[in-house]
Amino acid sequence: MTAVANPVAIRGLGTVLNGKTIFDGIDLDIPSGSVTAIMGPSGTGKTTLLRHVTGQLPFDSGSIQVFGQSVQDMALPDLYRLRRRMGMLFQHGALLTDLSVFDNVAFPLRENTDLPESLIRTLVLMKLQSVGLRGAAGLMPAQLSGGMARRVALARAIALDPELIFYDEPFVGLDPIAVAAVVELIRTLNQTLGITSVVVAHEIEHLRRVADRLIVLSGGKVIAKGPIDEVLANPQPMVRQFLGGLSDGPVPFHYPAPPLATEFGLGGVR
Amino acid sequence: MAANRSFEIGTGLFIVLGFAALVFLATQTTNLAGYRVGESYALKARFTNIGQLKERAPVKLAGVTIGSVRSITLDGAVLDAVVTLDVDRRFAELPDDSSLSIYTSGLLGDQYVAIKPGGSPEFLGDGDEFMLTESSVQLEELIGKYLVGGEGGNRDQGTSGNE
Amino acid sequence: MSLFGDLTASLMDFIRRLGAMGLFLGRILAAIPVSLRRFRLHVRQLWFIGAMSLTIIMVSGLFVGLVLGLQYYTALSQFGASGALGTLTALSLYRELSPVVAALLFSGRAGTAITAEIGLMRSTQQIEAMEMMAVDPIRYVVAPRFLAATLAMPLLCVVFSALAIMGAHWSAVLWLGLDNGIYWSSMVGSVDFASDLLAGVFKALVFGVLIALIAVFQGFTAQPTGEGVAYATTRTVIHSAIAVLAFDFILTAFLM
Repeated sequence: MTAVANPVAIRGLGTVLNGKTIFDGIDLDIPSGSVTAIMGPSGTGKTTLLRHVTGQLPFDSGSIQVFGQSVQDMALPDLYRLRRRMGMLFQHGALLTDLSVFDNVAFPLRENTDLPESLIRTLVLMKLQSVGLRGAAGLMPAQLSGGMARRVALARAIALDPELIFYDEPFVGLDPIAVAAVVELIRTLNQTLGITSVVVAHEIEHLRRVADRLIVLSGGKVIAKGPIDEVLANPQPMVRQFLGGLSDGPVPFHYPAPPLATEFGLGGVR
Repeated sequence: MAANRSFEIGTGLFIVLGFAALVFLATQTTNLAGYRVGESYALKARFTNIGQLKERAPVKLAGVTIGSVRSITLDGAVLDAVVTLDVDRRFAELPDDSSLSIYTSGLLGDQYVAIKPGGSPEFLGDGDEFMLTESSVQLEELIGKYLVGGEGGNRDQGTSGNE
Repeated sequence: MSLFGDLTASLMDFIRRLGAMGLFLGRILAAIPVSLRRFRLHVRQLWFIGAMSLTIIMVSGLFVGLVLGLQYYTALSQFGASGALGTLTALSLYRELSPVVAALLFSGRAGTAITAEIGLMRSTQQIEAMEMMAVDPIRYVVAPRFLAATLAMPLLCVVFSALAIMGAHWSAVLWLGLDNGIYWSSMVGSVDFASDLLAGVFKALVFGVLIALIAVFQGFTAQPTGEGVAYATTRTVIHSAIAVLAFDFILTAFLM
């Protein structure tokens, strides 16, 4: 449990999935206590990156260190021990559908600790209180709205008091009020508990309210990283296109294709 | 937790039902039926031919099953088959001049041992032997006799007589 | 040439899948002892997988028995051998029909449910979420379902037999007038408890392992999309049917 300056350190990461190069030499650090946002066009492998970091998906080259331990070639029991120090909020919450809200939050506690049931009850209600859903403890996941499900999932992710939390697309499909609640929670958890947070998303306006560092991925490379204000002011055309929301630019609007004239058999006309 | 309880009861009932079905089948439809230990006594009989009789075949008196065949051995000295029967204690009063036959149930059914009670006032006790036995009727012999038309001579005569 | 190449490729693919399933079975077996500590999970699965399949098994068993009674009576009475109806019914049920028919019904009722459920948990990231919470999904999700399906199969097979014996009694004795005593005594005289009844139950146990393994494997490795889960469910039925019939032949040839 020694404090590490960078809970996540990635060096020269390379991944090829189904013959397609996803990452081509990525270097990045997540500083302790920060809220780091990772952005990039859809399909750049932001979720894949998270799965590499948590050891769910092996990669081809480079190294990933989490809390100073290298996640590749780690035995499963060690990996599970490491994961108890991390939390993850999945895109749609990924609550266990056959358990109630209470049992979902209690699940990691019951499975990973030998705490007495009375203490588990106290802890679960405290975690639910912190996301404002103590009153929903008896509901089943099917009865929750998207925003509520994500808040319950967040309560579950912090049940084991992790030092590091990953948020995978936490804002997708939420109404503005629910987004505000999630933004608020991410900030509160970071500030009050000092949990290092990594937010993968592409909604700049929300990230501006939540993150203090920003990493932009595109084409398998890191194209910009640093404190969020510096990156947002970055003059690089590719960063500008992405942040400015322009349909065409260095990231092309057209998927690679032969020239239109050739495709239509007009190649010889000129 | 009430829901959990009902799962457990239902699952328990399911397992009980499975074993009840097994017990039902075992005691009603297999050789384990009527198999009672310690309530029977043994009787012996000698046959010159037991045909297709098998161990655990039923022993019947007037068509009612009262026991089963325990073992079948060959007496090497006399070259007879020795059949040991387990007979239910409730039928302990079999006259000692009763006779035994080996019959077939139906044309193609299994063979069983039938007891024809005699009239003697003395009864057979545990380990006693039947004096009168009638061997299994061999279908082939019957057919052979029928084709030859009598004494059941050798096969060459049988076929030539038929032509 | 290309046909030969295709055949080689699909053979290699088959062997690779077989190997993957074998490794998966190893992981499940290794997880079962620890998994048994969560005994409630196993009870719950035995309820959903076993007890909930009872209706279809019992109704089908009854009808199979009714039909056997009618068919055998018609066929046997031509030879004056209707006395052997009980024997024939019991032997064909115990040794062959009950394990196979119950297994095919079970793969349709419970095997598909297992695949769909695990596939859905995969596609909604519940499996990944468990892994992230340092809970082995093999231990928590797969092993209880595997064990429940394996144990349910022999129980269901016996229940199927019992209902079929009653069904045949109904049609042959109560409708067609076969003697009640002959029906039961012909079984008693020629059906062996161990080599007929228990051997059939053993077959059912083997089929239970096969269906359970195929169902959990297909669910666990399903593509995490609606379409992927649908395909996996279909594959569970097809692979189970082929595996059951092939192993039925092997077991009958070498064990019975």
